[in-house]
Amino acid sequence: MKITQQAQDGIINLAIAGRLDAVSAIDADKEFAKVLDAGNDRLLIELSQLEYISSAGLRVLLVVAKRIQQKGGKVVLCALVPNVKEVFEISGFSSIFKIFDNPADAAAFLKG
Amino acid sequence: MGKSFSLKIGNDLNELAGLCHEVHNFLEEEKAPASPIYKIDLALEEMLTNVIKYGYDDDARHEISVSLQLDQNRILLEMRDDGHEFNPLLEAPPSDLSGELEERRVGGMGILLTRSMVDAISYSRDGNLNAVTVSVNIN
Repeated sequence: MKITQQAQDGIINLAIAGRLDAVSAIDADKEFAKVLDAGNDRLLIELSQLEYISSAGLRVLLVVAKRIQQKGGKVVLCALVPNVKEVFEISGFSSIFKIFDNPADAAAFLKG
Repeated sequence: MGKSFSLKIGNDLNELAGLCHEVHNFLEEEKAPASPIYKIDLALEEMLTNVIKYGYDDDARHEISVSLQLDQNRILLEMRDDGHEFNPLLEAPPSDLSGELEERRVGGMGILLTRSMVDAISYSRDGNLNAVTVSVNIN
């Protein structure tokens, strides 16, 4: 699992690549905590290279969503591959996250 | 016909991670399609994480055995542990998936995901062992 960060126009773009499982979730949790502790409150999480997510990975994103909500910020997801999308749908996470097909639409929503 | 694979691990999350990796590589080498591999990876991680975290009433080392059978039509995964009796089919789904974010609980989510994504799942209590079998079709 690898998270690549990029800041643009006040939005932090985080691309998660690889596998977000019970093991890598621990690192992902720390990585997101640093981003949020630094005061960022508009996150665009790009998942086109995320091959696998389990409930441990969903938990990481849930924590991010809760913290962002407390700050009055926004977090959006985009570019989910079909298997990952299925996990989001079954778990009900697709109804708690704003999910876009591509990064441009996601960024437009965050700027709006 | 078909290939099989079996392995034993201790009740340790690091050993589970190694096992998941081996099973994943085995299925890739056998040219199983990506979607069934995802479902098997998920079943293995979710069911055994649950066993390792919540299945035992002592701090002793326990053995978990896993076997995998692959043929042209399906992948069969069997997991056996000597934890206390736990039937994942009786586990209630997390309450109210449409609820507010603050109330949402991820506990139990792994079992729900597994049950929803695999084609069949069965449970039996075999002496002092829990045996969970998962079947995933290959289309």
